[in-house]
Amino acid sequence: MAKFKVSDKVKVISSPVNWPPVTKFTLAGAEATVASWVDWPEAMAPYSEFVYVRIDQAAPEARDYEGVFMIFLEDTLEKIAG
Amino acid sequence: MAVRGIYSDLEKKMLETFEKDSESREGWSKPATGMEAAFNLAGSPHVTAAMVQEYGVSNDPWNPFWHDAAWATASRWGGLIAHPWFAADRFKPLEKMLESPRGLFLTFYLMGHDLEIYQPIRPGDTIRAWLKRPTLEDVTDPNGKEPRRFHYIDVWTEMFNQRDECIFSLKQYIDITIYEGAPKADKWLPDYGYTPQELEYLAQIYETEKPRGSHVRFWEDVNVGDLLPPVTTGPTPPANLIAPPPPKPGEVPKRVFPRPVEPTGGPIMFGYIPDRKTGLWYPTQGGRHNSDRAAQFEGGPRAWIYNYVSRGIMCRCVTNWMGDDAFMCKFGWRHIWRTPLGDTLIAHGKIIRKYIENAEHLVDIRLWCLNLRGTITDMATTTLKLLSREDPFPNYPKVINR
Repeated sequence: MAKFKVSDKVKVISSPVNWPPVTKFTLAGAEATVASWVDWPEAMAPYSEFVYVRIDQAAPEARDYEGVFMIFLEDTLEKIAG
Repeated sequence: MAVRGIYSDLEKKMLETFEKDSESREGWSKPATGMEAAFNLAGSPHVTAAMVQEYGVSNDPWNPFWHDAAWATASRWGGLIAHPWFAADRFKPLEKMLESPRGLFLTFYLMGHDLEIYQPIRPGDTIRAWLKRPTLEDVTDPNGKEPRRFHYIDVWTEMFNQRDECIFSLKQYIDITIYEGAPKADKWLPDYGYTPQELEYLAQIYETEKPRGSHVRFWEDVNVGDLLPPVTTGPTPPANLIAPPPPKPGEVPKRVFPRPVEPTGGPIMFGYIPDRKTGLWYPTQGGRHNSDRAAQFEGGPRAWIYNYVSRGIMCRCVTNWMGDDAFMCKFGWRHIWRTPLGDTLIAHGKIIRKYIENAEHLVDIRLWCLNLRGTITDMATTTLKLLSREDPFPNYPKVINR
């Protein structure tokens, strides 16, 4: 999580690498908060480019995921506050 | 709510039990019996071809290298070698969860494993496992407003062969939360419904998956940034239920009706789940990996897949790509998203480092599982030893005996 710190507000700016072309990515534009759920440096250090977030506000077609914790590669997120 | 380092009487009792238990568990692990054998742990220290083949078939039936002796003989290894996860799944000491007393409720995430493989395991080997003392670290949020949390390292194990060589090591990471009362279930996730186009897309990945086999993957031909062909599993079905241990030979087994016992922590795999409102008891139906009721009782959103499903396809993504003559030296993975049954995972891999160390030609690969909801569910890192074009191969000695 080199680019972000816990509590940063982020926006999902792109679909994951190799996202299936037949599936609409409904989380684009979702706003989320970086979470500390996996705050275990010994265990998580090798996985620093993966960011654990809580979805705060999703696009209308992805409301099911509001409040859900999800994981994204850091390059697919943009910091909007924090 | 809990304060780091300050414990209630119930917690003190739990920690005392843990310390005593940890002390007694440290040391050589005895062959599995009874319920341990029901979890597929080996009942004997001797590795047989049948064990290696059975494991290969059950974990990767699509790659003959892991179970076809004739196929494996036509490789650098000259015969069967065990799948990278064989020792971890068959020879690890029985894992044990912290025992929470009545009045507390424990739930946990199995966060993953780190394994290192120092040499191939072959039929005829004898394996014994040394369990290091399990460790428990209190990581409760200092704000005093959150439940108790521990980082627990269990089955921290080194394995040795009949030549007293350390051949394998394993470490298991578990994140434990202890509630005073019932945990609140995570948000329910609806079933994932697939379009015909998605199912066809998955079918293409599924049906074109092919292990590299005997075609040697040379180190010089690999570049940082290369992507591995994806592999997929799913839509994931409910897991097979764990069968009770078989009766001992010559004994008439005693019949015991399962009576309700108030669970004080997960995983609740047997017995009953109480409904806290009605007082009624419901069979666990296989527990957190099969039953939504059991999963929610432990705080999960709904029944989720076993850990071996996601680590299995990430491992297969690599073993397919590397070919029969390469060797997996390390595999670490993290499992921090509870994938609902019925979801599909696609495993991806990318070369992130290429280097020479101790004269071995190595590559590091980053892996991750993606589901169609849009989240990454699991990630892994592996190190492979590849053959180099600089090393003449095959380079076995000519033995004159005529």
